Amino acid sequence: MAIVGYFAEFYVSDEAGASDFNGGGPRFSANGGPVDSTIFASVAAGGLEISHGIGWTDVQVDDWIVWDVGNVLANGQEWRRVTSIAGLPASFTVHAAVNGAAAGGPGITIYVGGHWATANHAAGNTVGTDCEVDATSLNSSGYPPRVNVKGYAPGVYDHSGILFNGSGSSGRIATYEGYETEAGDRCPNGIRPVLLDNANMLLELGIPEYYSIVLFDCYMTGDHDMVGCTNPNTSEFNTFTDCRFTKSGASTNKNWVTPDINSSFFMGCEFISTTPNIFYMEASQSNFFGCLVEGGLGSIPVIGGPGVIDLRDGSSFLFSIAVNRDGHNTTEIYVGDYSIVLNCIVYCDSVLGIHTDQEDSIVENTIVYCDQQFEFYFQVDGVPCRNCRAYDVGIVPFRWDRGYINCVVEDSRLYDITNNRYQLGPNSPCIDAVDPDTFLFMSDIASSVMKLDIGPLQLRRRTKAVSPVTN
Amino acid sequence: MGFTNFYVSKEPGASDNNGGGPRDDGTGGYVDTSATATVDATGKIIAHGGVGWADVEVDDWIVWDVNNVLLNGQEWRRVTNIAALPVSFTIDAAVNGAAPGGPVEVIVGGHWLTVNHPLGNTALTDCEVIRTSIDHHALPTYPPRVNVKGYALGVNDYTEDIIVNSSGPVTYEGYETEAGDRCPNGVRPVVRLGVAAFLVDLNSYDRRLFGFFRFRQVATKNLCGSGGGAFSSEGNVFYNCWFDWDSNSGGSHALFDVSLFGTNYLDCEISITNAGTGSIGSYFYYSKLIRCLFRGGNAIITGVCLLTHGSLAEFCIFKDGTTWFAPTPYPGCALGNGSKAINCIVYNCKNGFYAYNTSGSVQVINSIAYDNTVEGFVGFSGLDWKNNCAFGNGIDFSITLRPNRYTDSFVADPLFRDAAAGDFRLDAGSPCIGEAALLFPFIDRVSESTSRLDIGVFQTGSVLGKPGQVQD
Repeated sequence: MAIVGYFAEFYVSDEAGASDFNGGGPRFSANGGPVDSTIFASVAAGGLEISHGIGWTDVQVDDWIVWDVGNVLANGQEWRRVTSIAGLPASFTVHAAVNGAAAGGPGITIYVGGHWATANHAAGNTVGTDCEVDATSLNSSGYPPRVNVKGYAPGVYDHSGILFNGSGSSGRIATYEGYETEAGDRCPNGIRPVLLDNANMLLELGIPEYYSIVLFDCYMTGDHDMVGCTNPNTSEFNTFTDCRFTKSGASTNKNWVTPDINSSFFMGCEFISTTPNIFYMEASQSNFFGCLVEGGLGSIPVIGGPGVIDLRDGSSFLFSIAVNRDGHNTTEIYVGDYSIVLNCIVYCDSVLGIHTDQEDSIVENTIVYCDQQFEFYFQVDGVPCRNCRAYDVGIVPFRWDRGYINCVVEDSRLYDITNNRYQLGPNSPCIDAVDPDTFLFMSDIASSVMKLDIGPLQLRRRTKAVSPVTN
Repeated sequence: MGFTNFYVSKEPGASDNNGGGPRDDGTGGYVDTSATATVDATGKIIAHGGVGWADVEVDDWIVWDVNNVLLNGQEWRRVTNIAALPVSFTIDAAVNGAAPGGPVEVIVGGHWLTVNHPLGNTALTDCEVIRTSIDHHALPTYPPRVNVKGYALGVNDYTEDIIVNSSGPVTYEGYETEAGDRCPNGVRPVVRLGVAAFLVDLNSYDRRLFGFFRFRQVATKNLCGSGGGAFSSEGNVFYNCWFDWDSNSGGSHALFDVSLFGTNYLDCEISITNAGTGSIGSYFYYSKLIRCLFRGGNAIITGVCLLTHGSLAEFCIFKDGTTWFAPTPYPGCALGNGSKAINCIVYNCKNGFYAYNTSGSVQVINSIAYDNTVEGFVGFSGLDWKNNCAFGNGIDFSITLRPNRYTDSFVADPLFRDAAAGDFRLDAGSPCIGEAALLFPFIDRVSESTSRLDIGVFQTGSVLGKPGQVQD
């Protein structure tokens, strides 16, 4: 089995903290020169030994560098943090085969080397420097900036804000990626750094602005929206991967997510309210996949009011978990117009678990534990609600609507829900319980029915003999 | 689970919130809500005899009971024999959500009329639904629901547009003609063999179509799109529908286009028969495609399907886009502007998953490219596509055309049971089982609850990981 999982090209940095498309520290000046692409080599199938000293003469401890143990591209250790200058190797070998060339075939062109610098961002945020990313920090090839942020503890190198200046930078990928301060692999792989404190993250975006944002462990303590900006509908198509948004302190009536960043995508993100203030997310045309939302309170905490998670305008909450044990008189998930909840868990003592008054919404394969009143509260008829489970300790598990299909009141037997262990326990009735009629009517694939567990966490035994590379 | 309210129709084909045929005129009277009853825990026997279904005819649908009208999944039945109508039926309060012994108010009865729509489409009649056909029940106003009798091809075909310049929500639901449960539950009816567009000149929101099945487009119009311009409707929901276009009919228009932005497609099949050079395929803006099949379609960029502007495809299959005619992408699934494909398959196309820009981070995750002639995954500089499987493509993971990063991905036969025959289930021993991206890996509060799907569309279930076994 051939394994892929590598950077296809490496660029040599000829300046400190150069940006490159494989990752790089922010340029120290707004008009930093282009990445040097002149130092490249044609690598035959036998590989090519590359001496160091080219491109990383300015390497410092805590920088990251292309590093090799045996095979620079295939062993998952392509990038390593420099913990000792003296430990830098004299050379490393790039193997052409793992870059896609046929064995014994002609060489392919590889730009070798590359490192990025660690930025401490010690003194706030200034246009063109520090955390700010704008178009001028892109290299000449148009590759997006990548800001690798040294790990912090709260109060150390706090940032007053990460400002994406909208001028001309739309369509770029800006990746903020923290890494741990202890020796080890590149992030994410463990304890994540604190990156942001007491400020907005996105401000004054223009129209349109497209960003891919990888952000770890953001702590929000100020009276700000976590992800949004001051003008409505000013940015879309942002992507947030493996981010953590935490709200605590005295802030009230603020959003984790606002409609300002409509059509955004959150994957593997965590939204935590550590105090029972009015934190909520109002999503517009946005998608959440594999996310956790814990705590929070709707903006209007009454029955039928907006939810802690407010899905509107075709938003979706997929394979995700919502937990709220603050006892608020509120709705946990409001499913607005043509929005979708699929394979989720809602565990709350809110009044309403999932509420909708929109007949074009869809709820499927979802488990709700709601120990106050209503697990599923559908105020309109015809909402397709299939394969759902309510653990009824409230008043009415399935309220109104005629669209409940294969929905049952029973204990889903989650492993230990009170201790945040949400996987299906032994003999859970949710195992393989998704109605397998999916694709039954499709002309070409009628025999391919789905077997899926209810809820986000699927029981599987991995069978592949060789694990893919983790990089 | 059951219906909590039933409304009595006092006119043929009344619209009501449980479903009903279209009103025969635009000013049809109110749904009769006077026939209400309080049902206690012991249930209540409701006699028929003219309340609401004096006008019942064969092929109408009616509330019908076998022991328990609400719980047995047989709530609605087609009337095949007037003489067989029951004298009475019982509504049980308990299944209406009342606590044992507690009362609940139920408005009883209800049926809907079957409409044949034999002669085209005229404003305020037949298939056309406009705002005035919504009933006048107290808020929230209930949308009209058109239940369309099943057809065979050539029987009761439509030759006109179905929805023209209408506004407001509407649901079309087909059902089978054989005795049985309400649709969808088996062989579904052909609704239209038309010579015109399906949705024309939309100008508002919320057209919903459930169980609409089997369209064939034989004219030079988009199958589902506006004849009046881009971005003319959003918020449509297509559920369990099959849209089919015979490309030999001519024309060069997309099945779906930008005019229907922000639309959801759930369990739909979108196919092009006899795909030729004019078969553009579909492109989607701000839309979600879940458990859909796309077959056929050939165009330079759109290929079989194009996702853009934050669109999302999950558990979808894109196949059979091989009739291409120039060395340009023709992908099974083209992506741009922040769009994502998760747990999808591209099979038998030219290129598989193809990013045409990086805006907003186009991503492909947990997906399989299989037997595509040129390249399986074609990313873009700076993107990182994770947990994908490629096999049998000309080049499985492209790094020459578009330098991309493919994390936790691999080249191996996914062991489909029979891809050529459309069986994309993973066979035992497939390397894709349990190899999807780990859910919740870095989320502190659920770190013990990590989970994986299978790569691809069809999940193997817990057969290989029964309860009690170690879950990783």
